[in-house]
Amino acid sequence: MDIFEYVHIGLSVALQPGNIFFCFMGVLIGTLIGVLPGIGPVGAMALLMPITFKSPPESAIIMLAGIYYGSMYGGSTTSILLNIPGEAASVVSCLDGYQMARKGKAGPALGIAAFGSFIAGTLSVLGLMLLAPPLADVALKFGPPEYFTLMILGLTILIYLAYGSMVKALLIATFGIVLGAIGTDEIASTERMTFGNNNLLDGVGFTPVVMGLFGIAEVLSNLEREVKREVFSTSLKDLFPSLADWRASAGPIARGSLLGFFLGILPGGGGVIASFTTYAIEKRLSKHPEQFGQGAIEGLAGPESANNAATGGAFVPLLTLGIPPNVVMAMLLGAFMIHGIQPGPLMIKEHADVFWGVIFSMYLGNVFLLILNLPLIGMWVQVLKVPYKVLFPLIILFCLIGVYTVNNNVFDIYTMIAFGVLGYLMKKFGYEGAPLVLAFVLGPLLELNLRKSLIMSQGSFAIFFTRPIAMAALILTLVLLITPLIPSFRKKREAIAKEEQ
Amino acid sequence: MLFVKDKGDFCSSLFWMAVGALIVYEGCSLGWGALRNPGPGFIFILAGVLIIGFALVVIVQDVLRKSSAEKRTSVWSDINWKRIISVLISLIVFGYCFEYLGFIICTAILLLFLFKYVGSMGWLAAVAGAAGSAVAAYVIFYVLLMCQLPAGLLG
Repeated sequence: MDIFEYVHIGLSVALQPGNIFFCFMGVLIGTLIGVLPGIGPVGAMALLMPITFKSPPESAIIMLAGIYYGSMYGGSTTSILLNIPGEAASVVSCLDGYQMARKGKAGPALGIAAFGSFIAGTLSVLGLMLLAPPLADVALKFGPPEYFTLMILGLTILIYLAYGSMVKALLIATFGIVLGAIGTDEIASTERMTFGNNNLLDGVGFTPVVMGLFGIAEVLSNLEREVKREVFSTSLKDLFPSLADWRASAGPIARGSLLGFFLGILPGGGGVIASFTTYAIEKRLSKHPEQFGQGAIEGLAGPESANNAATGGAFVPLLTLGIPPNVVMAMLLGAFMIHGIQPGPLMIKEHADVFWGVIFSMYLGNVFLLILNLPLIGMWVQVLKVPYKVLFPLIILFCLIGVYTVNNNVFDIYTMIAFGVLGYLMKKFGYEGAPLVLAFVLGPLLELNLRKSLIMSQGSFAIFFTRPIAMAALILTLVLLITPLIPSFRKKREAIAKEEQ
Repeated sequence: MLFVKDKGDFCSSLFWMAVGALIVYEGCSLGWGALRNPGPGFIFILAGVLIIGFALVVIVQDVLRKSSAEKRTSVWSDINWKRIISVLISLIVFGYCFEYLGFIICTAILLLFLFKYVGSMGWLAAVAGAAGSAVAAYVIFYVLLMCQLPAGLLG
């Protein structure tokens, strides 16, 4: 089959009225999920998966996928207007997006976030369409040493971006790795740190951890004092960025799209690491890095583009290898299998309609999202203006339902509460949640690849230095860890952290 | 404690050192294995030692730092602990009663408590909000989305 046949198949599936409806519902719900703090795409997909059982497989996947990339759009709205990330990948957007809003530039911030996301999302789908098979071949060549060192590099970049103490970020990330290792050891099949609790045999659930750290903890933080929430309003005409904004954002959008797409492909990658990595790169490339964190549009355009591009990239290993690179993709894998479809190299041949239908629906979804996120920004702002005393019980309710319906297990509710308390205390004592969550997600893969690497090398760590990609990743990691120790770098980093706090 | 500038950092570091020690202990009981074939405890021992090390570094950094006590105390001042503890207790009780009482009853009671006692809304608004939200949530999640939610006493 050639590219024109793929296009024909894809469009014929994506443009069916039923699938257009499912796509629209998916991105609408995804945007709402992204706007509302306290529930993320994982919880939303868990809630909505049962309704997809009776629908055709392509419709189910189209809607669930729409929730995923829709939440990336919606998350930026609360980040910019409220300084609360709607979901984890939008954390970085708070840094400069909210500062832009405080300076009266909420419109251009929302506008560039939406347009950047649209461009990046569209480009990433194009990349997915054109590059999926050969990219899967490249990823196949990565062995355990490459995966291990790339994950370490990804974690280190995130830690490097931590405000304040890097040591605390390293500590909490290491704890995240431990959390990810709890459960049954994949290699030795022994129980690890389950303390005899059968609920922990499959490990600590991702949904309770994330909902606790980013949902419940956030609610507790917001309840501790009477704080007037400043929601910045803007009119539609102010939503279009100026020429200067576009000039400043063009490079970050392009780089964010490219980087986000490729980072989305890697296991453990995705929107979070893509947005943080892009932020770090844009800050390094900027002629005025001191403006980052003060309302630099590059600090918003790049990460917003990256997290949307990562959604397209994340589909590559899922659709072509059958390997989900993150939890959201794992949910989609479950949905595929429920419908009797095994994603992988044969999917393009055996289920071409589903494969290409889902991909082309993402083009449509990006158009819907641009429409939803710009003209309807007033509606989302009204949602945000709901008094917090009305909003927080509903956020808690969503968290409870979202957590419970994943496994129908009350233990997950208690886990969420525990991580809510932990997240709240972490904020108080100056520990950030993002390194913990990323390490938690990457931890099992990280450990598996470390052990496999050592088995391969008969216990020698030289394996990480004899393979070029692994060595390059390790060198970059060491550079990032060592530079803060150099007095001039440390003073600069402390000065920037102080200003930003 | 004379050299400790930030009690928060000191206490949190002690906590993490205890956590690290527990992790190392669990890792040792699982077994380190060998470098050529790392055992199930390998990552725990490594991570536990690192956590203890990082916690020690935080303490040392605090001792060597010039001063930062004012910044930490402001984080703990003027906190409405009653609200926070109320929410946490209500969530724990919700979890305990959820499968016994069922989704609708538990949700209605929880929301009433949160609206009225934590959110300080009036009785009418709180009751209406709690009942309406519980019913709406039931219709959306149980009826329309067919999520598995416990019926409890109403089952």
